[in-house]
Amino acid sequence: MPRWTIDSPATLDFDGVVALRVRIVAGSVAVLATTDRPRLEVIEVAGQPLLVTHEAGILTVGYEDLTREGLLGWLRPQRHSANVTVMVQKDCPAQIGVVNATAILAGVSARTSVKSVSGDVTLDGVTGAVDANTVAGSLEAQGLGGNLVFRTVSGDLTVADGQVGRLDARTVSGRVTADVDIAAAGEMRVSTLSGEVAIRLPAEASAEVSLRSAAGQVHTDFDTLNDGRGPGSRNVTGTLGDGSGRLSVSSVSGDVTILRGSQQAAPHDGDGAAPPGESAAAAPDGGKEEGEAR
Amino acid sequence: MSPVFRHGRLRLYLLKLLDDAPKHGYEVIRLLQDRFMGVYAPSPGTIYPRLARLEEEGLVTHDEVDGRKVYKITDKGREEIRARMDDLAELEQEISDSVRDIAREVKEDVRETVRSLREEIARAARDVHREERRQAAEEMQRAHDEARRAEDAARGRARDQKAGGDPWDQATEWAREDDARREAEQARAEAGDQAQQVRGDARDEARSARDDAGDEARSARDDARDEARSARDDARDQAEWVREQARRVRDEARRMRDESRRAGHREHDPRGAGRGPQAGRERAGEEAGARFRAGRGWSRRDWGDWSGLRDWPGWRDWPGLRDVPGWRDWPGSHDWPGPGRAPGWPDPAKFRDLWPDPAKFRDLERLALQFAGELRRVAAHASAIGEDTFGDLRAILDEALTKIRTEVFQPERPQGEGEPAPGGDAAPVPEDGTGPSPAGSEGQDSSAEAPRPDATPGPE
Repeated sequence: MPRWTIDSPATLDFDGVVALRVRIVAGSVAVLATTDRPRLEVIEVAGQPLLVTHEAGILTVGYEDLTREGLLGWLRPQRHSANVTVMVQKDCPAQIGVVNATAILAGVSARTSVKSVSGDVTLDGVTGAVDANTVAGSLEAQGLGGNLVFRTVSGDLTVADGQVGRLDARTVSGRVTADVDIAAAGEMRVSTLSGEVAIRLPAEASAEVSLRSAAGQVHTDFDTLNDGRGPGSRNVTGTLGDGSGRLSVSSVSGDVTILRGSQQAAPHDGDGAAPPGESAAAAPDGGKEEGEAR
Repeated sequence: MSPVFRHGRLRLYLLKLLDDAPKHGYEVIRLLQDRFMGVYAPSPGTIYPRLARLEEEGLVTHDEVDGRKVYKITDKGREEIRARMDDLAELEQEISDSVRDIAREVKEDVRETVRSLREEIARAARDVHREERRQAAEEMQRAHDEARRAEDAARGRARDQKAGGDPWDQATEWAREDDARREAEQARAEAGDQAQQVRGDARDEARSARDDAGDEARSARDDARDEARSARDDARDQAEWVREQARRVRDEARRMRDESRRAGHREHDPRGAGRGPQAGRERAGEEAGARFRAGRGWSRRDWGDWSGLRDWPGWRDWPGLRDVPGWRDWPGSHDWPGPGRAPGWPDPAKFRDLWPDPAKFRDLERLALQFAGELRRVAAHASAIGEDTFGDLRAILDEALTKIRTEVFQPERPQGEGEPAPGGDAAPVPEDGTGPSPAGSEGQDSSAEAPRPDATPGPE
């Protein structure tokens, strides 16, 4: 079994990785999708050297003791920090465990699980099923396209520009902010104790909506949800569009706000049947995007 | 373009890629893309011209495979690479560094997006909250207005009742007014409580507060309306009663006058003497007795101001009740024609003509009333009122009246009233009965008619 102990920056290439496990304490771990050969780059190591194994296609990055004593054994004052980047095929499932390191996932489409104590989790263009648990770590996602289950005590959840099949968020005091569309037959469920919930749905969103707050206030600027209720009522149910998806938010004392986004159809119409002036103006943008590095 | 590829470096890297293996243009693009984790995707418009330039320089060449150009490096190209080995190593290092930075860049990028989204959504949410708060404030204001309107309506009702209500039941009216005010206060207090609640937390309570306050106001208004209606009915009944009493008094007075005139005629008429003055006295006595009895009944009212009835504001201002704000929707108010148009209700204008000028006769009436009071007291203290008491009284009063006429009003007579007197003697004027003498109470008719010689029974 190939086995490496890494105490200085290094790069390792692998023939094939079918699963990834990363466990580190502090620093950061990034899992990036690539079509190239799988590669591990250790950019920085401090304290205990990293132990890397590659067995039966399973790439494991961690510390020697972690497998024996468990993650909590490493909650010692001494500093164990590592900064690693793993590039794997986008369909490679990954398990990531961190204490206070940040975890970054970009472009992966496989099942991914992230456990964090206080480290933040960042998702970019993730289309797989993500299961994230944190204590105080926040989760920030952009271009989310798959399923996300997020459980946290005090971490915040922020989803920008998402099209979710299933989003299940449970927080104690963490805030939930999301700008998402719910896929047909998709489901978005948010429950919180005292966190504020603000969700922006496209104007033409289609979902059965149920909003409840025991002591907080429920606001929405969707007129169809406002019918027959006074301002500030604590239970709102209604249907948006033809109600193909489901959105349910329940809160004990947190405020719930459902915002109505602008018409998403508008830009598409502009592309499709734009007057000459507009398409001319749009063209440079497209060109720029094409040649632009992020 | 990535800053990694400064001038000439992309060219070097293309050579390096082709040194590994011959590739066609699209493969080169793919490899570059992968090397940069997909974040740098050079366009064909960037790559193909460069490959063409390399070919012109003789560093690469191409073979046609399946209609596609497959580029491969030439010996000259390999020399170029060897010559620039240091440059290439540096470039590789920079590319690796930039790839390492990808994770950081991803994080920063996402963080940036997420932060701006959070701010945007927070702002939008604030707007929604503010809008709802504004709506709640409006609800609250509306509840307040509702309550105030109810209070005003109740107050207006109370005022109108005071102004147009039954003058004799003023106490009741006041009580009602108090009730109305209390109702209004209560309505306002409750609406105020509701509003307080609304202000307290309570955007969410605003709707129900408005409903409650609305109900409160509505019921207060309904109560007020009912009160007003019953008050109006009472007042109308009272007015009816007053009118009835007036008519009765008038009839009574006329009968009394006729009777006394007849009695007087009989006493002086030799033909009537056959039946004897006794009979006349008897009848007169009966009449007077009836009047006394009736008078005792009437005295529960203050008849002293009887003539003031005309000045009773309710007769004129009564329709003002309908002008109370907030009562306009009450349909019944329009159906009620008002006293001026009520059937059987005398036209106020005509009424005024028929009525004696109260200023002129008020003192006279007061005098007569005092006299009547004295008379009544004397009669009440009298141990026995015999049958002829009234006849005697009648005679005395007649004498007194004659005396009054001749001694007190004599100076005025010759001018305007000298002539009718004999005419009145000759033929008692029948219209006299319809004449305006409702102010007459017991004994008053004689004095009230003192200035009207045509009404006097005693012929000279």
